[in-house]
Amino acid sequence: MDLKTKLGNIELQNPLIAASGTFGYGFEIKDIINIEELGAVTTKTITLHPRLGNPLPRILETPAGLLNSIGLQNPGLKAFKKNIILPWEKIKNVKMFVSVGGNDISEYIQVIAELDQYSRIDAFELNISCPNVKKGCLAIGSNPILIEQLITQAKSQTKKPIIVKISPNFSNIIETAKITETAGADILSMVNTFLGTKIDIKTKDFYFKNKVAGLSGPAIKPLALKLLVDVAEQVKLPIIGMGGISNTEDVLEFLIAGASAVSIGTMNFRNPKILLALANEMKKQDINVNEIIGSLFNRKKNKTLIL
Amino acid sequence: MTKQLRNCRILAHKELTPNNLSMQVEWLNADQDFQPAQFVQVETSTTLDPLIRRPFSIFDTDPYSFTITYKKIGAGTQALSTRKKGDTISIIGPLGNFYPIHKIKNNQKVLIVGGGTGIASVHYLAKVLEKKNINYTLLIGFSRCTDIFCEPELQDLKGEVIITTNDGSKGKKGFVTEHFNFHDLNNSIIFICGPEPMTRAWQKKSELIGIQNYDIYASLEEYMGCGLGICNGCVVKVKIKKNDQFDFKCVCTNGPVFNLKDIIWT
Repeated sequence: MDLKTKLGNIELQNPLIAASGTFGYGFEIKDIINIEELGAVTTKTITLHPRLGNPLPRILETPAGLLNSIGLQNPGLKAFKKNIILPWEKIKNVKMFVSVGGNDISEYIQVIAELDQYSRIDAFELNISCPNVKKGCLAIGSNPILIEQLITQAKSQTKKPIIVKISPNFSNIIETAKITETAGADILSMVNTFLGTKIDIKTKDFYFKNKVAGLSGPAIKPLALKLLVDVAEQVKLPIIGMGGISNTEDVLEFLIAGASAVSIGTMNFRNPKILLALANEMKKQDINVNEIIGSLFNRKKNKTLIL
Repeated sequence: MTKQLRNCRILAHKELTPNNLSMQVEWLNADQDFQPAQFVQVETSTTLDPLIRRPFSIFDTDPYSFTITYKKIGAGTQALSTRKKGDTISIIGPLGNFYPIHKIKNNQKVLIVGGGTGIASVHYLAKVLEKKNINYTLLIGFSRCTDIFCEPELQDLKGEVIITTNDGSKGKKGFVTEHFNFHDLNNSIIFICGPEPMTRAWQKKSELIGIQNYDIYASLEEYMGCGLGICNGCVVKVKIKKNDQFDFKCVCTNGPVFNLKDIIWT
């Protein structure tokens, strides 16, 4: 069965997407996986200026999970334009989603304005949910007024689809999703990492210099899936679902719960071939992707879903 | 050799001392594919806990396999220790850069310093130098005699090997830095791999004595997320030559070998 699917107006050859920050800029593991066969690659968040990132330690494994406090280390817009866009021109079948971050709204907008000229870029993903930086991102993502302003301004700069990646760390994720929809975003991407922490019992202090870190990996899957169900029921925007997906069953659960496509994050570190392995497994199982997307709600039409 | 993800057969898995093990893994042309200080990312567990792979330096190679050595200290190495001879294990490699053997000048003395789990890469370096007929001195430190997991392999080496133990139970007593005349560093090239305190102590001592004309390359150890230069989890602070600024470089892909003079310890 063909795995082709549509994410808003974007046609994907399969619903499997590499999540931002877990796949570099796409080239780091090209020796291991043929990225041409993926649905899309979301590149590591790029900011207007280069960012050094947070001090060490930056990562810590937890049971079936990973805490990270990277802090959006990236080479900045100029280096991105110089070194990333051109090699991507040779890649044909996979969609390129560029994740954008910033200290304030104007920085996001400047990045989008300067990258809009490149036809290779298929969509921008606004990262308003990274929990590891002091300014921008989560500070915007936690403020409905700023979310609206950011999306409105981003839409005025580009005709490319705007994906908004939201945080699971607020009680009102449905409200956040609705604001995103009203403000004119094209696609919702959910969720970013869950805030977590670690105490060093020897120093009796936080393990991470930033005190908190973002938790990802299979450990968060049931939490992320629950949030997807909540949001998918209330919002019409197409959704990229993610959070701890590690096997085909997980992919199907997210699609059934209303995601039009899924992103794989931390599991790329465990198995850099996982995106292809999942696509192949879904083909083998003859899964009709478009039939199952959102089927949780279709079946329960006219019934309130009580969770 | 570009990095690959392979499912490999475990050819041998032995306990060397109560906590130190060695694993021999099938890999055709490993002796050509792997250079000293390069490492593999090993899927230690068949379940999702532990989740991420663990990096291991190459201890030795032959035409059809490589060997890694490790100490059982955490969940990853504990899981790895349960894998059996004949099992299939997922390996990504070869990863990282390697000791710049090509920078050894004709009249330069070669000193290799190793400690702890860092012994793997310096052992492999010594073996490769022997094949190239390059003389070396290997200075190697253990905590105590029961930690010396590779005594037969060290005895087989043809170069000068000096063993130290912190408690004096074997070889010379104390840290490796205490048993070396640093003035002999003049006109030498040093390759070092070991726990961070050892590498830092070595750097500090050579700076204190003011030895000028030497090159020093360290293979660094850091907690890794991916090993592929993607997650930016295993970075070190590195000086940028043009000015007083620094950058964070990935130990996994920009290293593990760095010119020690460029490292800013945090």
